[in-house]
Amino acid sequence: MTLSELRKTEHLSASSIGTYVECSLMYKFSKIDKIKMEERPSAMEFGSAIHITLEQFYQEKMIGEKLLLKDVHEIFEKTWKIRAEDKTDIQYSKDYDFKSMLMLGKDLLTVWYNKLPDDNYTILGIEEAFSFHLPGIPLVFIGAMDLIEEDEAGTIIITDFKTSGKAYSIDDVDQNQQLTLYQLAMKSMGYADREILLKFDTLIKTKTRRFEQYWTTRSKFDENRLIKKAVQVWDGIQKQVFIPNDTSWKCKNCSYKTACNEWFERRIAS
Amino acid sequence: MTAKEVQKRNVKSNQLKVMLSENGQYFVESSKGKILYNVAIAGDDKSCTCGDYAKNNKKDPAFVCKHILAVENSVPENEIESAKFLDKNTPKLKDGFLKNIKGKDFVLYAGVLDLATQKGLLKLEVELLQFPTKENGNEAICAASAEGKNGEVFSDIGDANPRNCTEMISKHLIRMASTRAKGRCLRDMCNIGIACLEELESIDDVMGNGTAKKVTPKRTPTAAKSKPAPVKKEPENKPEEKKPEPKAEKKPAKAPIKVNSKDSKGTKSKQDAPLMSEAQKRAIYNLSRRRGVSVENLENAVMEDYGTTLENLSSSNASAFIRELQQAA
Repeated sequence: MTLSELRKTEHLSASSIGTYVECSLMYKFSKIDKIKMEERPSAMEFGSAIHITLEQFYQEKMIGEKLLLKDVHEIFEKTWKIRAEDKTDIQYSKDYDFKSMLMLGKDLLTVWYNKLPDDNYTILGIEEAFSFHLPGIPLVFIGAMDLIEEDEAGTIIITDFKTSGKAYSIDDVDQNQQLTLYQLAMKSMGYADREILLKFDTLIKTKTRRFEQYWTTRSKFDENRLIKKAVQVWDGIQKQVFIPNDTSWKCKNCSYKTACNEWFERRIAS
Repeated sequence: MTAKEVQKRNVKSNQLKVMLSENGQYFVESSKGKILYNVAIAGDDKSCTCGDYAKNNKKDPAFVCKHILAVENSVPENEIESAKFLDKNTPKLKDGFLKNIKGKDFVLYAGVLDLATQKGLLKLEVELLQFPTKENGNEAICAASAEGKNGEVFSDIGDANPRNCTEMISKHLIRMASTRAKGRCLRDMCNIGIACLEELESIDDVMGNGTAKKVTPKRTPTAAKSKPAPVKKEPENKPEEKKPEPKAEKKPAKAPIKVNSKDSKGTKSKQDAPLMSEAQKRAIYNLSRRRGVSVENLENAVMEDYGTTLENLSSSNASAFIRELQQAA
């Protein structure tokens, strides 16, 4: 089953847990009320275009082919044009527009292509969708792992592709709950006896473009921590506890600003 | 001092080792066994050199720490070991750095480096004399020179090529040549006549068989295990619309694993503990780089914690070491 098929059923995901914790009202707007985002941030579209490009690269690698850099650029250009050219609902930050982001993507992919270490890992899955239950939560958890590989000793490597405006801190990597959920998913898929390593392959949009791999692992304690947190979030959702976090720095660029203001107005009036 | 506090410390004091020196002083080992505290008891006058005593005695002159209680509790029980004062530290090769393999003694590079440092190593330099190329049979040669605190200088060379290294080490010929050169140089400086373990091709050199050296041949292709997913030609498809091959229904058997014959730690038998995987190795280097740990410090930490080189770390120890590095934020 694909991720889009899985999304049709009621579910939770790593990002939904994160959204609820960050601003539970935003969770309500996006996941329960299913309100369309007012604007699509360019960074999100850009990330998706890079994502698709890397996915194509690994699809070719999976069958023993290596794409040339110019092919990688071509895929990105085509994808970016489809997703962003002449699209008026994309919200660009002040330094970027459609063209400069096309150049940015090519620059980043060049750095990534040249810095990506050679390895002989076997690719087990690309954009591998999963669905499983966590104890105490009746809804399924769904998601898709960007890349699953195995080295010759049987170690499983789960990679998540990222684009970021800055380098990740140690905490960004070691406390990321998306990776913890991937490990739990992998274990639920029959790989519980394997050594599982997790990493972010991150294309960093700093002035000097960078590519960094951030490796990490998760312990049983990390897994249990996420489970407990998810149970609490589920409890809050069930009890319809939706609190706006209107002091967050993210409020400024929130895609649910109108819905949020209306929500406040209704509450004040009643 | 309340009865509860005394009770708490009394319980802790039961685990402590008490020693009596030749000149009648009591010494109590810390609970972690790392240091000794000096306890003096003369009638009602009691004192201890620990922090707990120093902190609380000011407020409460009747305060007794667990070390004092340990002495008081031990005297009637006759649980005192006699201690003797040792001379000041003299440079010494620690036993952990010596390996006896089939009756032959070897020293680890980390051991000679440690001893040389104790002896006042001032400078250690390495020069790459020959870069490994196809023409020279992929042989790396390095020269090392060491300078002691009194200005004495020692030098020697070390070589490494695919014929005198294991398959795994043969990917790191320059580093191995450097380690060998430094090892030989420092052995001279420390007056150690026995060879460094790193100078050997493998343990087979000593044991005379070929069981430990060979590793499983690498799989060449990077292709999928089962039917590959169809190659997508149109990038406009969204990621979630693709259908990857479901691999998880059948639980794949583990790939053949490399075997470690040198690891000195871990619960598994030394002979069949699987070696650290390539991915684990990358994770270790990645984590250490992000935490600012140099390759040299990394090697030393592995040697100290697991009694082996990074290259020979077992998979289970690598896993533990990755966690250790991750927590060393």
